[in-house]
Amino acid sequence: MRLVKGVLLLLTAILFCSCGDRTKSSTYDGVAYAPRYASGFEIFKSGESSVVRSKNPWQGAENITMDMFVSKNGELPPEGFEGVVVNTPCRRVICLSSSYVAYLDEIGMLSSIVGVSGIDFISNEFVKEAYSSGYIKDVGYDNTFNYELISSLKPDLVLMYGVSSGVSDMTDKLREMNVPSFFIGDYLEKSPLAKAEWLVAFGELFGIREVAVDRFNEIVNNYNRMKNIASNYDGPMPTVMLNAPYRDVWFVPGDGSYMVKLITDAGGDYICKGVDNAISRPISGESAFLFSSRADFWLNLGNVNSLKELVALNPKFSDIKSVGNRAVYNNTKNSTSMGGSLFWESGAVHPDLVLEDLINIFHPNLLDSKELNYYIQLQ
Amino acid sequence: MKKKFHKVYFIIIILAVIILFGCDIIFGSVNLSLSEVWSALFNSDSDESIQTIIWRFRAPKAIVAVLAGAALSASGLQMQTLFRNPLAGPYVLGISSGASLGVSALILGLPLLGISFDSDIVRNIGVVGAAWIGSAAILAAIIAVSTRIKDIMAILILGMMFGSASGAIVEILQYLSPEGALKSFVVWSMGSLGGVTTTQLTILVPVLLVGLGISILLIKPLNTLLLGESYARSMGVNINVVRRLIFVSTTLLAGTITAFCGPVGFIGIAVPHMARMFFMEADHKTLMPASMLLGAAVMLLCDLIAQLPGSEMTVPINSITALIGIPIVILVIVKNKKIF
Repeated sequence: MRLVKGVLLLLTAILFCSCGDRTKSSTYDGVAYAPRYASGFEIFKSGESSVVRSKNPWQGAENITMDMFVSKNGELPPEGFEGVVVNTPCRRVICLSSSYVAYLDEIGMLSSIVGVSGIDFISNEFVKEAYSSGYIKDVGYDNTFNYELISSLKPDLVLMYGVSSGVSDMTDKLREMNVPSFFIGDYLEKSPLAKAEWLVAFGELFGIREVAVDRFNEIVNNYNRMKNIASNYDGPMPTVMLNAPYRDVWFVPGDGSYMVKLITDAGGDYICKGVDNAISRPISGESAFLFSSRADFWLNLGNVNSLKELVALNPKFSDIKSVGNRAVYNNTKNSTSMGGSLFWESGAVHPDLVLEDLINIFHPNLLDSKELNYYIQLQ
Repeated sequence: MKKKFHKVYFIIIILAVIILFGCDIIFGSVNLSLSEVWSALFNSDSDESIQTIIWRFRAPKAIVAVLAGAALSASGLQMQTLFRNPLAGPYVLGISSGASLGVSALILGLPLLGISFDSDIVRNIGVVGAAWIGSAAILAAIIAVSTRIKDIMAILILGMMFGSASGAIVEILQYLSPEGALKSFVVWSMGSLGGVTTTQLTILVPVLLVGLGISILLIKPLNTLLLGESYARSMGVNINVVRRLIFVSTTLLAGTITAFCGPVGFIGIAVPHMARMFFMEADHKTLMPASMLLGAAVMLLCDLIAQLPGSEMTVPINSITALIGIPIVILVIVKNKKIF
């Protein structure tokens, strides 16, 4: 009995300690930027400097916040501040995802990149050239991070994405090496404009928030203008199938996902509707066949570059409507040999350009521009 | 008396195979009524998409289930007799590891060398070819070494070692590979009966029929092997030839199924034990056809369950075969019947 009590007491103590850490949040001098669409970050004022807060930066995270003090003129963070401190402007940044390269490109800060993860997946010309000249280094990815190289690059900041497992290993290791790191949760945002709004957080790192906000507003206006054009169109809404099978399993996104929102905003009708979340689910080959045989368009097929290849890989789908009508489009324009594509790199920061593509695919006569930015029509 | 019961058992099992085959065509993740299935089967101007579902999805899958069940069980039975070990199965010689090595070299390795997954080489060899080459290579290595080794247990250990070695290489490839390629590989390794196309069936069926034919020819030598290798030798059986024939039939049966469907676990171990439990004897004249038929029935049942009829999702076939096969294997261990 005594033992049980003791254990219970110990457990409660542990629980309190760990809760204490989580909820302890410093109060800053008000909000500097409250995002209009994004839910993964917030910017606070703190004296002359600012604090960027990343919220629930990996899938399944709950009530987790991480603060980064972006110090101006050497200002120190408020007492009790827990988080990383960086001096603005950041001069040496390591990007662990190719989409961060696109964000930095958008605010003219590519020259601050000293390291990337997986150069073979990046299509940005500037970065590729800087890599071959030796200025930018490839620090590896996932389990193969080259910590010695990261350390030798003397980064002001490592920008990383969160995946629930293995995250702590890496952050702990970087902390041990005294390398500041920060989680970017852009990929978890569920709407196209929310992803793009992370641009503002990137701007804050370089002390050019206003530039980033202006640029973001342009993207929003552009996006909404085209969305209005598509929603005012009163013709039939084409039905759309997404992705391609792995053998006889087909993973399709839920209705709340980024891609489905883009399709809806472009005046398309996603054909696998019915599950109200953003998570991909496996459906059987025959269900997928029924969906895709009814769809007018088929998009995002992975590593497929021609209709011949598509039919060779999926002979069961050779007779369906979209294949017969050549209404099959893949988001692989300018993709790298390793399967990195411009879509995954800069599509997040340019939802307006992705939307433009989709409207041009679904309703070819609505917009003036006809050239596709990210998509190719399979021939 | 005993033989009479055997006939009844065989009739029951054959009926079960026929009924389960029908169910496998009628039930699937898309709900179809009996009349819809009927008209898709026998009326050429019925709804085209339902015809496709029946003829291109369900019928090939059901045929593959029958063949896979029969093939894996037949080769499992041969392995158990050859190694005199109740826990031997079609994969003890490292066939599935060899196949994994082939497939991972194709899906994961080539992209690392800068050859794109959708290039001509990859498409021409295909996952099936790579898996088959991988498992045949392992078997060839074992056959080559086995002529010098008398002790059958040494060959078993050899198979395990070859398997582990190829597993190690697969791990390195996985470790270095990008996400998309990894997903393709993982989905392959979970097994699926539905990936086989109608054209592939025209390769699968004859190869498996040859393998099953060899298995039937091996019934007599297998019976003499039950009494020990030295006894078999004294009966005039050429052990080396028999071993090689068993290896060849295993490559044709388990190797080919693994190539087309991925490694499907536990059927090959569990079904021969089910046959022994039903028929209560060790004669391969009974056990071989019984294992093949029971294997077909069990595989069809597993596929029916894996389809989760009525829901648009499916679960990997491997999980179902494991969940059904493992209790049988445990039963064998607990009862610890002296089989050999």
